[in-house]
Amino acid sequence: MRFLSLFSLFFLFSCGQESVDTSEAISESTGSIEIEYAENLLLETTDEGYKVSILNPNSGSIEKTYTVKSGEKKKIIGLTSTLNGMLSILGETDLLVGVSSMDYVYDADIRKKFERNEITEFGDETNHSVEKIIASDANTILYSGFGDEFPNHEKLEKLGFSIMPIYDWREIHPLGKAEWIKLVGILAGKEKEAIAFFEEVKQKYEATKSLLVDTKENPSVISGNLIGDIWYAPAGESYMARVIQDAGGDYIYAKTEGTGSTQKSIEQIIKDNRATDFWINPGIGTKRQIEKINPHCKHLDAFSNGLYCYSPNTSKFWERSAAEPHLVLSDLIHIFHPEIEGIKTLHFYEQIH
Amino acid sequence: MIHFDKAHIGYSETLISIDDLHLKSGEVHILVGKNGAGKSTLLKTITKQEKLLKGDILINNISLNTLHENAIAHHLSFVGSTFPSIDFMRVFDFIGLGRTPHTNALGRHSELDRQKINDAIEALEIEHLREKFTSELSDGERQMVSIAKALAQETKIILLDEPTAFLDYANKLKVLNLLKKIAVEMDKCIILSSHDIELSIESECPFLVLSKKNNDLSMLFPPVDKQEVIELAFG
Amino acid sequence: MLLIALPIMAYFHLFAGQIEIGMSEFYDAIFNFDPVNPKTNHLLAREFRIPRMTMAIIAGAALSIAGLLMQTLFNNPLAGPYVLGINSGASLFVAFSFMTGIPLLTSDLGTVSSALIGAFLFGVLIMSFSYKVKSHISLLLIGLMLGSFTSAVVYILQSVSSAEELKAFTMWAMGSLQHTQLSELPFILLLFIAGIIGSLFIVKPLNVLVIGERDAKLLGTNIRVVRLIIISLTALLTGLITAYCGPIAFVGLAIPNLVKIVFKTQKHGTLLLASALTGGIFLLLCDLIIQLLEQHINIPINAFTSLIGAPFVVFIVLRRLA
Repeated sequence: MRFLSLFSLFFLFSCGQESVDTSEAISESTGSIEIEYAENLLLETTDEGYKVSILNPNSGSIEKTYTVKSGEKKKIIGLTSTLNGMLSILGETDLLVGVSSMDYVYDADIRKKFERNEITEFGDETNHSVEKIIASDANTILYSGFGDEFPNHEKLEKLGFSIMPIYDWREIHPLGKAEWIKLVGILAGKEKEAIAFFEEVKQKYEATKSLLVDTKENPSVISGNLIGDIWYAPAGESYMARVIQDAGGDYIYAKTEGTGSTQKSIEQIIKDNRATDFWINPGIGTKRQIEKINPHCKHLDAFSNGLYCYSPNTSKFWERSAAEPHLVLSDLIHIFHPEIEGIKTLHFYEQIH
Repeated sequence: MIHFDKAHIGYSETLISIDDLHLKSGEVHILVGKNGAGKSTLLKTITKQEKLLKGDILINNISLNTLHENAIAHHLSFVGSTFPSIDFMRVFDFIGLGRTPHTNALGRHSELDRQKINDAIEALEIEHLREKFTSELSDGERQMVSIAKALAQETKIILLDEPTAFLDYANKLKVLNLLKKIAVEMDKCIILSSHDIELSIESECPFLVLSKKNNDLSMLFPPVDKQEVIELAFG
Repeated sequence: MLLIALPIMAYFHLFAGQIEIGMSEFYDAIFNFDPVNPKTNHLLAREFRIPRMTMAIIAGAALSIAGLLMQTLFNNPLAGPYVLGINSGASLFVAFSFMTGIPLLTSDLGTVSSALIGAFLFGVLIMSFSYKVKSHISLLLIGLMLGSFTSAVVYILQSVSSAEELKAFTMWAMGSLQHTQLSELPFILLLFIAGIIGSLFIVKPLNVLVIGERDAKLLGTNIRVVRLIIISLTALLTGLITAYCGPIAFVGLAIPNLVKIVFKTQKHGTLLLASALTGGIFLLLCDLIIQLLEQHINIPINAFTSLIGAPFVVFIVLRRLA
């Protein structure tokens, strides 16, 4: 695995220039599709269709550019759950040739197609069979970008595959993640529907947020869990910190810097959070298992009665939460402010027992 | 002291059979024989490292067949041909290990134990080595220290496997004379295996000669005839 | 000297950490603890600082004793519970117990029992190999192979187990001195003290074993029984620590060697006690440094002991070759 990434790092340097200009000449852009929140995606229109640019979130510069003819429907190997979920939302699971593993699939359509052998498992980007990909009738591969090139990307690109690193998970704004559906729309020949869906999500997000107008007191919230001796909590400028705040939660580490995570010793966590009202996202679905990796957790008051996580619905969460951030928001509002009427059910989250 | 009674010795097949042989205390017995004739096997059998194939050997009138492995240490001590290489082991402590069969379960040395260790050191005239580490000793000194350990063990019988093999002439002589003195003065029964026939003859000790040809062990008393030994052992 | 150094180190260790806790707070945490609604600092002192300090001492002492026992048993200064794969045995069986998902096996008691059984079985295994190989280094190679082999098996187990079990096991395998709770300490202390007392009872055969199994036997030592006792004690001490703190490398190998170099003796009464004390001090010191560096860099305890232990082992090897 390390060998592969070294390998791809090598390609990154040696072929960096080439990867920006893919084999076809890219037409002049004639306009652009508005991107409001996503920071790692640029969509432009051309005479033939679209020019898609994916930006590297670390450097902020364009990592790859692709052309897509308008109305064209790509055949996709989707190695990221999020974009598979978006395909399903647009009603285009027919375009999905393969996924990484059915273990992570929530969508009923995709499951049925797998049973009918219309969808294949390819393994993730670090562990997949190139020959299997070549033998498939796909022409596009979507994978979670980590700054490394997709293994064997050169060969696959020569064979006509478009290989796209997907950085929705690096978006900080909840709506930024959702906006990646516009890319899926273009790949599925349903850009209008995608844009409409996003506009609707945007409105729903604002509408859900506005349910909070009358609330006076915000409960305190801690997120994350212990890994080894370190508690990784979302940093103050991260996506999760933002959703907690939007949902009327008083996030304990809202003032920490950074968009990733902040690291705390368990002593510090106990000191800061003994009386914290809610503990979300421990990453594990049962109290017994949580106690096993974090035996001191019972000193957090929230452990007994304020513990919530998406873990019981992990696959659904990863497939749908990015595209429908208003549902995450709605869940958290319901948890933090059960007194608010208008929210009846939880979509992803459950109380952990 | 040691009585062989129709004893058959060997690994799976009989190498040596000894019908009836008594070894007395107060003597050093020189064990000679061809390589592979069974010198080591014989010593190992007496110390119960190897099984006795048939017959019996009586140690202090106790049958080897009934003597428990762990009780052997009270009757005989053994000095091997090699010296263990250990860091940070002082000569005094090493010799003290000879007291093991006599100490309590926790292995603490009593005043008596310390006295016995000192006696052994005195008997071998190695007071100057007392506080040295065993890793610092010469080959000759190691042999002396090993013998002192055997003395500290206070057994009637001492077996030595080629104790003079790595020594120069002067040291060989010294070790041999010392053992003779010990055998006589402390009334011990000593057997040592050796390649060094000439030197051994000069020491005027009885010989135990292993004959591969006859598959037996015969005792020759001094004055021993060199020709006879060679004939018997190597002929 | 060690007897003085240990409490001093323990004292500094207690007061290290990013949150300041005063002397009087420690006093109150112990003697005037309010179990219903404790003050945070009392809670931290009682549930975090004291168990962490105790575990550092116990783990350091137990692993050092286990290392000494193995070095004497195998007559090999490079032996230790980690390099000879005793840890691996414990890990493998803990992995099995975690992956089954059976509550009885995944409970704390289940983890400890699995670790003890695994450590014991691998102890017997490495002992049976030790008769076949003469060289010190070869035995280490076999120990390392046992380690690699079990890692592979654990890896396969992980790939077929569910995400939650996987997480729990991964966390356990990272190792920590901080996962033990005050309420668990009496049980751990009990087993630890049993291990130490057991070791002190075999001082006599240990002293004799130094000159080799043959000579020990000829001096009246019941080798088979002694071997079994040594392997059991090693498994008890290593398994116990591995179950509660995860694998901690090199302490067991390095400390007894250090003690022998300093004390220049082979008397096991001295070596056992000195190794226990030095091991305790060493791990306290490691954990203290980890806490001091915490704000800048996070080093797991296992990585830190390897950082110091591995070069020391190379030093021992070079010293013996010279």
